[in-house]
Parts: sequence; structure tokens; C-alpha cells
Amino acid sequence: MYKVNRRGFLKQSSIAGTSAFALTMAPTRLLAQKGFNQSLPYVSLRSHLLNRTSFGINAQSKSLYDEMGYRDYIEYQLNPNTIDDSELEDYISQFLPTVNMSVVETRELINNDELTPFRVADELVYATYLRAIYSNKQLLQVMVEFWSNHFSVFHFDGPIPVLKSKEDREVIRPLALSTFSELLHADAKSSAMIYYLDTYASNKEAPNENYARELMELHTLGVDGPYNHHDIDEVARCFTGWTINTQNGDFRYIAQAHDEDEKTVLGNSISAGGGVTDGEQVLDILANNEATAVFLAQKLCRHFIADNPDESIVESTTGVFISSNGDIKSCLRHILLSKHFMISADLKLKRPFHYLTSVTRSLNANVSNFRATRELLAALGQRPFSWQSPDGFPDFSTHWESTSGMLFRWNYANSLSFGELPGYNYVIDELILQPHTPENILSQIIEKVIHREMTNYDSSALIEYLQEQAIDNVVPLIKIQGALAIALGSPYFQLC
Amino acid sequence: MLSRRDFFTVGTKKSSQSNVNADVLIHVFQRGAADGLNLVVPYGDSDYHTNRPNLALPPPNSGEGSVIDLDGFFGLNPDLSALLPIFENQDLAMIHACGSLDSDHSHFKTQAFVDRGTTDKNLNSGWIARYVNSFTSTESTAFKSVSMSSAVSKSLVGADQVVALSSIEGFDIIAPEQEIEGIKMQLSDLFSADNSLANVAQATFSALDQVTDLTLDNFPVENGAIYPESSFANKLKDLALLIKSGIGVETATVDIGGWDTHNDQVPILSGLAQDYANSIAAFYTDMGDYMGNISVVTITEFGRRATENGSGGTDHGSGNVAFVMGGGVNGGEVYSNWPGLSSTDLVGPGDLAPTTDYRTVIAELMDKRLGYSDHENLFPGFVVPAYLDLFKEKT
Repeated sequence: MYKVNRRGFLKQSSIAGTSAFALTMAPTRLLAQKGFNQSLPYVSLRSHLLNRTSFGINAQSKSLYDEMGYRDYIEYQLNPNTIDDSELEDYISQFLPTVNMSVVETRELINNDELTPFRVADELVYATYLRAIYSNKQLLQVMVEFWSNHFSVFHFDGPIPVLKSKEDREVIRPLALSTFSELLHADAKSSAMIYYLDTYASNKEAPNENYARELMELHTLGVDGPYNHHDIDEVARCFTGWTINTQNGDFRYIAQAHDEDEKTVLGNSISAGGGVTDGEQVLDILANNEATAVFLAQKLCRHFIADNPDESIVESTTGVFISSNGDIKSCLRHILLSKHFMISADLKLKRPFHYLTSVTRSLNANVSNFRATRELLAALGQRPFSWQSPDGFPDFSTHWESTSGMLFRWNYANSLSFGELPGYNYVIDELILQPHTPENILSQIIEKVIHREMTNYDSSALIEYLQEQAIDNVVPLIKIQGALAIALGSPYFQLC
Repeated sequence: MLSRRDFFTVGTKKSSQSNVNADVLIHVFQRGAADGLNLVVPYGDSDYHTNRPNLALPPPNSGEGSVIDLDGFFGLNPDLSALLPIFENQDLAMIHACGSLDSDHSHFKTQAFVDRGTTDKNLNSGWIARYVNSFTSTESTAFKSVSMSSAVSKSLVGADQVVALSSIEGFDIIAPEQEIEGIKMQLSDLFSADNSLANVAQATFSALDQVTDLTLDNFPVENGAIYPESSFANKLKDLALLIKSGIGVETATVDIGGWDTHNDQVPILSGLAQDYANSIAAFYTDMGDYMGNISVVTITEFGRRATENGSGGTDHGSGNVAFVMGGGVNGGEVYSNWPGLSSTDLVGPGDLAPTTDYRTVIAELMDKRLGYSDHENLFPGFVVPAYLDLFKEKT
């Protein structure tokens, strides 16, 4: 029994919108891309690109975009080594030291009771959250999240609290914009993954098929890929002897545990006596299989375009993946410059992590205490690295639609806007400049907070709300905060 | 190839109507692995006392801390004494040496397994979610499935309609008092499009509206029930209120955590056992006649080692005790195919062997009390053996 919108009948007439941004995008929305109803006014190309390639639009990212333009901004973000983040990284090194600590050091502190594994896990989460909010390398952070999910490991399994920080530092971050093959090889030798999917427990007497199965199903070929149970058995044999150096968390190969007989994987013969190269050959076979290209193209398009992206963009991205030998930058460039991408605004729901960071970035809030953040992320179901199964946090909007999730998002926006979230503060007078007339407040909310036009209808409703207690056309602080909360809790800000 | 994920698709075929004549299912999860051997004590097994020289509870009528005899073999931990009247009323039964051979000694892995009803890591929906999704709801309630927690309980993840609330009081818009109505009204207007997100938003408003009249003044605790002061008790008290209000609760999950007693177990277990039993007993008393249409099942991820460890605690084990309560239970009995506790009887690192799979208990409950027998949908790959005859057929 849903409420009938008291003024809903008016709404249809205002959809056409008088948005100045409408002209910047071709009216090709009718292309078949499934998603949320296109009932909101057009989003500027700038806001759309920044929504999808960052953890939230802020003043700085907009001015960078304005300086560079669409293509150059993408190129700039695709080359994070040229972007300076030293201030942020210095802060992380100082206050979240385990993020950059070797496994040996971390273990020593834990053994001396100077540190707990939970603290190590939390520091990585906080660093991830800080980078999402404050890094200038926003697209890199987005891709780190993408690969952390693609090669998902569960943070609270055995020694993973300690090993995951190493994986994040040495595998996922440096290779997030390299080639898929490099990433796959590095991940296969990452101790966090070797532990999580039981490769370490596998030997020639009892090959463990866990990694073999997920490697093909989740990391490369996809669940409908061209492999069968025999391939799983053979791949498992190829990875016997791959284990962890328990001292320093490095990869270790134990020849005595390896099955040296011949194997056949996807019809390719792997000769006897190949040792550690057996597994490496498997990774090459899988990285170069067409099904892997299709699977990765689908996942990238789902992440950047829509839950169910159009077949044609998946096909063309697959082609780029193959011709560039899995070059991640080439694939991203292709997707972000495609028409399919440009007309995909509002087809995705921000996931909780993205929603939280984007609120913080829009308000230019200062975060000084992470406990509330961690608890909120856990309550919303997206504390980084804590998806239990190896398939990573879902990238389908439907998973994230829940009453409690909705309420938590609203309450997050409310608490932060009203200045009642511990550890967060923003300066409302710096965000919403004087004079605080209803019209001036609304135009600043549109420009600086939601970064997009509203329908005439919704604008007038917010104006009405702001006027309620205005004296001499000056809106009291509490109503400004309320309007911010409403705007941030609305579909204008939850969709992207 | 047939994907293991296909189970999910198979499981979502909808029945044409809501499951009307069904008990309300309440799933209590003791997270952390409760020490079943010291909750429902096999005092008649002499190895119990040998294995636990410091932790074993004395047999009935032998001084302080003696167990309360249940059937000449099992005794109730005196901290659970609040459950005794329900047991004697034949509305409570225990199943001992209950567990699963599919569990291992990791809390997270095994909890995830129990929540999903399968060891398949790729099936991400909860077993209760797959049950509720089998029916098309005709009721316009937001409270068909309720997770008494801030995040949706993993066993309800994927349910078409599910509300998570850690307390009725806390299920509200947080904002300065005078702004709440204005914010709700504005947001409600902003989410008026015809799409799934707006539907969720409107469902949230419905839930918020539906809970506004739900206060203890309108639906007081009845029959002189006294809930203890605890988070678990508060959740049960709120759940009782929701059910009595007629808001349409069909399934609910409630967690009680902290059972991982590796060290200095006695005071920890004592406090938890009292909290659990006193809360459950208060709920039973409060619900009164409603209990004829409610089934409560309590499980934990695995049991604890048969022998005590060197620091006054117990390590991770296997077999354990489960509790079922309700008017439909053939109660007053401890059901057990007792495997024994001698060193040759124990399995793995020294665990009580699980002789009854917990899924057998739930499968019978779902069949007889909720009229639902698609076991494959609840527990993919698990072949349900003969029922224990724990429940009466619902009439």
C-alpha cells in the first residue's frame, strides 16, 4: 500500500525540464538500456563522468574537468602516476601505519600484543575509505575497488587480516590499470588469495579444487565458460605446491608437493615436469581465452554503464580487450568514450560505500573518526573486503535496495547534514554562501551538492520547504541543513 | 554446464498465493558456537565428567550447580531453569548431538553455511529468503520478514520483502524533532517515480508509518511476563509486539552473540545461558495463546570440544544442542541418537559426533508447521533423512 503522491499529477508536466544541460547530450536515451526510469532531468556529461569514475563529485574534480575537458580528464585519470597524492599518503603512513607495514613487522607487533589483527584489518578499511574521499587519483580508487571485488577475499578468514594489506599494496593497487594478465598472475601468487581459496592446502596427494574452480568461474572464463569438471581437476593439479611463505607472506613453491605428471587444460597439453610453470601456463591459457575477454568486458560494462549493458558495447569492449592483450586502460578508454556510456546516467544505484563517500565529498566534510564510518558500512552491508564468498560485492542495483538500507542512507545524510555524526564536520557557511534566501540556497544545492538540475516541480517543493520558517526571506540554519539532507537522500543523489 | 548458481533460479519459482496457514517462523542464532554439552548436559555419560574435570556440572541433586534432570540421562544447566516449565508443558524439545558434517571449525565459514543453508559459496541468498520468495505476497505489509538487527540477517538476504530493525524505537528517521515530518514528506514526494528504488523508499515509509503506533502502551507485555534487561530480550520483546500487532510477520531472525568461550567459560556461559533462557521464557509467557502458531528454532554454528582446554574454556567442536519451541512441538523430550563421549566416540580433534543434521530439524519444522516441503530449495544438495517426529502436523 504505497502512498499516493499528493502532487504527483503535476509531475508529468515538468519532466521535460528546462535544464540547460539538456542540450549537451543527444536525445538518444531511448536506446535500449535497462535501468531505473528516466524520469529525472538530464545529467551533464561532466557530472555523469565524475559520478562513475570517482567516489563522488566535488568542487575540485569539477574544476579539473572544466580545465581539461572530457577526453583529457579521462587520460589524466588513466595515468595516476602523474597525479600527486603525497599529502594523503603521508597521513596514511603516519596514522594507519600497518597499511604500509611488511607482514614480518605486523606479525611481530601482534605477537608482542602491540597490535591486533582486527586493528590491521580496520586500518586497511580506513585507508581505503580515506583514499576514496581524498585521493586525486579517483579513477584508480574506483578500479582498486573493482579488482578487490573481482579477486575478492574475505577479510576475517585465518591470517587474511594481515595478508590482505600486503595484497592491496603489492598486487591490486599497482596493477589496477595494467593488463588483466599481469593482475591475474600476481593475484594467483598473492598469499591472501592462496590462503582464502585453499591453494596452500593443496598437494599432489590431495589436490584442492577450490581455487581451480573459482579461478575459472569467477576470475576468468565465467560460470558459463568453456570448462568442465575434468578441467577443474587438472587445473587443481597444476597448482599443487603453490603455497605461502609463512614468515613474510610471500609466494612459495614447494616442488615436492607438486604433481609433475602431464595435464590437459581446456584441450591444451601441459607437459610433465613443468614445476611451477604449470600454474603459470594455466593462467596464460585462461587470460588469453576469448570467454575471459567476454566475461571481463561484461563486468566492466556492468560497473561503468548499466546492470544489464547493451550487447553491442559488451561486444566492442571484448574486441578491445582481445586486441590490446587485456590492457585495462584501453578497455576503460573505449567504454568511457562510448555513446553507451554517455547516455547511461541514472541507470545505476550508488552502492553504500560510494553513497557514503559521495555525501562526504559533496559536503567537503572533514572526517576525523572512523568508528561511525565502519559501523555504518557494516550496517549497510558493504564494509570493504568483508563479502564472505569469493564473488565479491554484487554490482547489481537490486541487491542494494532494502528498506533498512534506504533508512540508513537517509539517516546518514541527515546526521551529517545536521552536524550530528561523530567524527564528521563540514562548514555550512563555506558550502552555502550568503545570502540565505530560499532561491539562493536551492541554486547552491543544485550546483554544489547534487551537481545536477532538478525538475521545476521538485525545485518548487524544496523552495516551499525552505520558506517555511524564513524571516525577511532569510532561511534559518536548521532548514538549510534539512534541505541538504533531503537533497542528499533523494534519487537525484542516490542514482548515478 | 549446469552452474551451481542455478539452484537459485530453480528455487525462486513462485507459488500462486501466500502461505496462509503457517506458523510464524522465528530463527534464533546463537553466534559464536554455544557449548551445548554444558547447556543440556549428558550427565548420564560418565565420559562427560572425565573429559571436563573442572567444567563438568554435577549430576542432579548433588549440591550447588547440579543439573536439573530431564530424562534420567540429560540434565538442564540450572542457568537455563526458566526453560523447565516450557519443557514440562511439552512446548519445548532439545535435539542433542545435532550439527552438520558439512561444517568446519571456522565461525565465519560455518555461520555463512548455516545462513545460506549450503556450503556452496556462490549461493548468496539465505535459506529463509528462498522460502519467503516462494510465495507471492498478497499482504501489503513491510514486515513480512523481519531481521531484528541493523543489517539484514544473512539467512534473509535476498528476500523480496525484508525489514531490518534493531529496535522498533530505533527504526525512525534521525533528524531534529521538528524537521522529521517535513523531511519525510519531501523525500516521499521525491521518490514518487514508478521504479524499484521508489518502491523501496515507499516501503520504508510504510514501515516507518506502520511502526508509529507500535508502542508498548498499545501492545503491552502480557501474562505477567518479565523480560530481562538485555539486547536479546529487547529484540524478543519488540518481536512479540510486532506479532501481536497483526502487522503480518511471517518469518523473523534474532541473534544472540558472545558464545565463543575459549577462556574462563563459567561466568560467561552462565550469563549468556540466563539471558537466553529468561528472554525466551518471557517471550513464551508474553505470547500466551499465540504460541500455538509460532515455531522458534535455536541453533548455533557448531558445538565445542568434548574436553575442556587449559584455560578454563572449550575450543571449537562439532555436535551440539538445538532447541525448538512452540505449540506444534512434540516437547518435553531430548531427542538424541547419542554417539558417546569416549575418546573412540569423538570425531575430528575431539568433537561430539553430529548424529542429527540440523537441517533435518528445520526441514521437518518447515514441512509440518509451515506446509513447505521443497527441501532442495532450502538446503541444496542435502538429502533429508527420516524426520525425528519433533513436530505435530499443523491443522
